[in-house]
Amino acid sequence: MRNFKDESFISQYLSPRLMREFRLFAVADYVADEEALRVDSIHDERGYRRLRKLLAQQHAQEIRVPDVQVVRFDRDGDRSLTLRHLRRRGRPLTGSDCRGRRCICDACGASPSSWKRGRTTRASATSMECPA
Amino acid sequence: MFRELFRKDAGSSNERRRAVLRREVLPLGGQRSGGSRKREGRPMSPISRGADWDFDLLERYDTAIANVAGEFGLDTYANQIEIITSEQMLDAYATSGLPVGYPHWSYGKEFIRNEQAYRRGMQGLAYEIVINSDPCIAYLMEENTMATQALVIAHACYGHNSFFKGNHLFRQWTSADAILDYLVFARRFVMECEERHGAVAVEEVLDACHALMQHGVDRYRRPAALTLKAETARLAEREAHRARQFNDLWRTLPENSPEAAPDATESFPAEPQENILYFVEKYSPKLEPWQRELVRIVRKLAQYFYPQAQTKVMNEGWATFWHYTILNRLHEQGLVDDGFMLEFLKSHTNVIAQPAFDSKPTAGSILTHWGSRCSPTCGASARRPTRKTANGSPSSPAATGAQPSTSRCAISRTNRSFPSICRRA
Repeated sequence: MRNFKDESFISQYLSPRLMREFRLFAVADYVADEEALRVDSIHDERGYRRLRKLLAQQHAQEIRVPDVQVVRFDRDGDRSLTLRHLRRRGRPLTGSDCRGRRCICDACGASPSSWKRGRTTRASATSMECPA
Repeated sequence: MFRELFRKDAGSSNERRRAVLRREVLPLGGQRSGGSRKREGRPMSPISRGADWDFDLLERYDTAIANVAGEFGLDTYANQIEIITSEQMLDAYATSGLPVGYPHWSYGKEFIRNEQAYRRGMQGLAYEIVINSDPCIAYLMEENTMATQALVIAHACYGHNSFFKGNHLFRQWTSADAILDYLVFARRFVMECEERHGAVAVEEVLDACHALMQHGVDRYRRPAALTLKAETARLAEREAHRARQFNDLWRTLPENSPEAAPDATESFPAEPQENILYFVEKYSPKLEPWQRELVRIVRKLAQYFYPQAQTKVMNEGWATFWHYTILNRLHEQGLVDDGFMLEFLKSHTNVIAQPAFDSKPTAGSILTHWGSRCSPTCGASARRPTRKTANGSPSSPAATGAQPSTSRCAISRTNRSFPSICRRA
C-alpha cells in the first residue's frame, strides 16, 4: 500500500487466477477500419500478461492527460509561446482538448485565432505556436 | 445571466448546523490489551440492535472500531466525523469534499446538476465523503442506518484514513495538515480579489486556470533544497575533482573561435516544461500579481488532487479490505449481531461484485460506478443534527481555524467516483 499507485499495483499484484475469476478480456480499439471488434487477449496462459499490462495502463494518469509541454517562449522578442504535444498512439488532440489555448493566449497577449498548427521534425509531435 | 444564476458562494450553507463528533485515536498499546482481553472473555453483547442510531451509539461503535483497528496496527490520522444531510452532501459533491472552497460559478452549476439528478432519482448519493486532511474529516449521511454508519466509519475513518497517511504519493505531494489552512486562505483571497477587481475579472482568470488544471501538476518531485552544509561539501568536492583532473597539456591546445559559441538566449526555457500553469504564473509578461496568485491557488489544488486520481483502485481496495476485516472482527467479538452483519454484507457484496462487461450502469471503469441506484425517499425522516462532542476530546473548533458553521463540504470531479463505493444500494 505504501509504495504503489494504481498502475504499478495492478501490474505487480493482479494474479492470473483473479483475472480468470473476473473473466477479463481486452478489446482492441486501435484498428479503425475493421468492421468487427477484435478481442485482443483473454485471461489464458498466453494472454494474461498483455491483458494485465493493458489494464494497468488504463489506470496510468499520465496516459490519460495529454502530454503538452512548453518548449519555447520568446520573451525578448514577439512573446510567442510554443507548446509541443507528443501524440500517444498517434491520436491527435480534439477541439475540446485544445480549449486551454485561449487561456494561454490571454496570459501572453495573443489572439487565439492566430495559432499556427504544424508538425515538428519528430514524427509524433504536433507543435502549437502562438504569435503575439 | 447564466453565470450569475449558477454562481454559488462556497459559504452559502453557513447557517446550517452540523453535528460534529470528534475523537482522538487512542495510543496503540492500550488498545491492544483491551482487544486481547475481549478475545479471551466470553462474547460480549451487541452494542445495539435495529437500524436507529444516535450520537452515543455512533461514539460507541467508533470506539469499538478504533480498538479493532489498533489491534491490527492501522496507523491513522485523528478522526473528525460529521453528520450531514442529503442537501449538504450535494453541496459537498460540488467541490470535491473540501470543507472550504472559493466561490466559482462552476461549483454552483455542479450543485444544480447533481441536485436535479438526485431529485429525479437518477443518481444515488454517496454514504460518505472523506478528505485527506489532518484531522481526517469524514462526512456521513444522516439517513444511513446504524449498520451503514458503522460500515462507513470503518471504511472511511480507518480504511481511507490510513491510506492517506501511509501511501507515498499522499506523503510526498500533499501536506494533510496544511491543506485546510490553505483553503481558508484561498477563499479569503479570491473574495478579496472579487471586491477589488470585480467578479468578472476574477472569474476570467479562474475559468482559464480551471481549463488548464490538469497541466498544472508537477509529476516528478523536484529535489529538496540542499542545506548549507551539503552545499559547502558539494563545492569542496567539485574543487577537489578539478584538482585531480588538472593536466598542464590542455593549456597547449588552440582556443576555439568565439563565434562558434551558441546564442544563450536562443532557447528559453532550457528544458521543456510540463507544468504549464506554473510556467504561466512564473513568466507571463502580462499577469498582475493578484492574477498570478490565483493561478497559484488553482495549481496547488490540482496538485492536492493529483494523488487521489492515481490511487483510486488501491485506495478503495484498501478501505474495502479493512471495513470487511474490522466488521468481521467485531462480529467475532460479539459486538454486532447477525442482522447487522447481513445488512453490512449486502452493501459489501454490492461493492465488490464484478459487473458484467455489458451491464449498462456499470459500463466503463469498474471503480467509477460502484453500487447501484436508488430513489431518494429517505430524506423525509431527517433528524435534526445537533452539535455534539465526544467525551475525552476537547470541544475545539474544526482545525481549519474557521468556525464550524463557516465550513462546507464539497467534492471535485477527480474524486466524485472516489466515495461512491458506498453508494446506497
